[in-house]
Amino acid sequence: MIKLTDVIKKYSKGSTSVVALNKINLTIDKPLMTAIIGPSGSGKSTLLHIIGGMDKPTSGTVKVFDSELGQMSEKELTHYRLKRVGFVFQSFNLIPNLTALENVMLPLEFGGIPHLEREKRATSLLEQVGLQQRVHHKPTELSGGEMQRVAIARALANDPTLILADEPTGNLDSESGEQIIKLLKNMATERIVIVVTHNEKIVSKADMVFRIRDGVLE
Amino acid sequence: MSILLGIKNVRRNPVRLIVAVLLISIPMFLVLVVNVLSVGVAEDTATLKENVNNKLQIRAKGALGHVNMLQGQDKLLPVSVLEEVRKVDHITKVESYLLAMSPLPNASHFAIIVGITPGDTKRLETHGETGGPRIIAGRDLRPEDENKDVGVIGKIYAKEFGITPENFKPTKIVLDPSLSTEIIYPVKGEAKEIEIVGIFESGYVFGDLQLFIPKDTFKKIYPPADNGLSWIFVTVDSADNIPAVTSELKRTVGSFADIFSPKNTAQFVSSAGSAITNMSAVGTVVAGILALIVVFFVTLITVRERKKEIGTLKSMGASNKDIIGQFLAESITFTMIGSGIALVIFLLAGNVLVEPLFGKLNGLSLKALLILIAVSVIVAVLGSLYSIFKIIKLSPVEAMRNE
Repeated sequence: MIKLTDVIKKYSKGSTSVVALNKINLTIDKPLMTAIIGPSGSGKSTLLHIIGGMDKPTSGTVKVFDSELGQMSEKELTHYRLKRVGFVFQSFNLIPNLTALENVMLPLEFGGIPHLEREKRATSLLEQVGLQQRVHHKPTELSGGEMQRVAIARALANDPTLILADEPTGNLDSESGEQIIKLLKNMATERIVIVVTHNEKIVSKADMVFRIRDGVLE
Repeated sequence: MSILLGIKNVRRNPVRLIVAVLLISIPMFLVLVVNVLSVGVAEDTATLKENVNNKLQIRAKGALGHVNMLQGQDKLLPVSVLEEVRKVDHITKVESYLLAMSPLPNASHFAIIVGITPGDTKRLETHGETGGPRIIAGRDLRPEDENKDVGVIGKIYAKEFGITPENFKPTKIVLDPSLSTEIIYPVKGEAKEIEIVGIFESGYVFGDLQLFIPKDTFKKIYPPADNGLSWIFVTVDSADNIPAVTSELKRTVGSFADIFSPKNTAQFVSSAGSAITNMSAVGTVVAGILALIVVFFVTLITVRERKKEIGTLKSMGASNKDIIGQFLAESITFTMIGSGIALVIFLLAGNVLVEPLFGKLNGLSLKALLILIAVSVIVAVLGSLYSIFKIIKLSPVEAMRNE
């Protein structure tokens, strides 16, 4: 379960303070696909980063699976990101000099999984996203849709309970976008999937939709 | 895999890699040259230190130590000094001598009679530090000459008895302790016939006016007061230890004895050896700093370029340890490649490049190679620490935002 209570996030920009999130209250209590929509600069990605333990709120509490993120040390947050969260980025963020297989193996290595097991699990995940023929290809040899599928396989590597996707179809053509939406929807049967998006198709497939504007959840 | 990823990352920017390793190879080549030169010089100076004049002379305070010399020059060292001296560290050999003066038969000058343990170094009275008399006719004294009435004589002293190297044959001369002059007083010993078995030449007039006889024979002719000793020569294991041994001898026997230490070659060799060692250390540090500057800027640029990637790795759960391991592996790898190129240049063209300035190089020593590896690792680690620690301080979002 995810529960955000009165979450405020402020940034300093020179001498001025910018409120990115203003008293956000949000609860997601079961595996489903949630879409967060809103105009650029409204605070969608900031919200996603705070839920994913990549950033800390200025005030308020963020409770994810009974753990209060604000109380966690850096080490605990690293462990939380490793074991509980899978990120999917708009620009895929694959490591360019590693193959698809090696990219998927990376989070498993950070989790201390032995090499053979890593390879087996990463291969299986790439098969699940339909890339069994592209296992040994580097990102530059893959299409945008394929790269995003590698990124999804990588996000699933440590079997997280929470998938956070930031504009996952933003850099894809509509056909590839469809495939990604399908994968995300499938993942939402067992996991909480939160997608920040402008894509109407994702919104239409989402089980829950939050709209955010100027840091305020509407 | 963070380590493997770091090693793989080296190839991501081939142009930068080539520039970086070439820039690193230059100071690393200098590290090799400086240390190979230093090892060579150290080996040479170590040999020199063992072979230069490492002898200290000990005499009774204020006296020349001649058993029959007037004007207070007949003071001798008590025989117990030998025990004291043998206790001092770094002394490898102790030799004792007895000296007396004997008027020349046909002149107003005198000769020096030296009682010696056959086999010990023959030392010259006026050039005790550097004496190196060589036999030019007959033979030298041998250990079996102990207690025998034999001697080897300087060529000028020999001439006084009509003995020359050209027609040398063993000849007997008489040593009479009752003879005296204005500076020599008679002593109560027995006059003895000494068979001259060899003639030596020293290169010094005064040195060639000496006669070496076994110590026991000497004592019968010129009995030393209280069985004392004229000189003691001690050999120190290395020129480096001469100051320490001198100081210890002054502490233990300095109240009644003078200690004469070599003030020339030994000290020069010792200080030159230290200077060369220090210079090679300074050279290594300077070259290391140059390489460190290259590593610093390469890592700084690399880390800035890969901020987003580091943010991504952190978002996946990479710990600071993983990030540090990856970048250290990368910087150690390209520094080692630079050092490898330096090594190849050294092996292929080291002499061609260095000989005009420093002369022929010794071969590559294990020590120089280990220093190169150690410097490479230290440079790689120190040069990349700043950039790495700056990036790991950032949260994943900050790292990705600053892209």
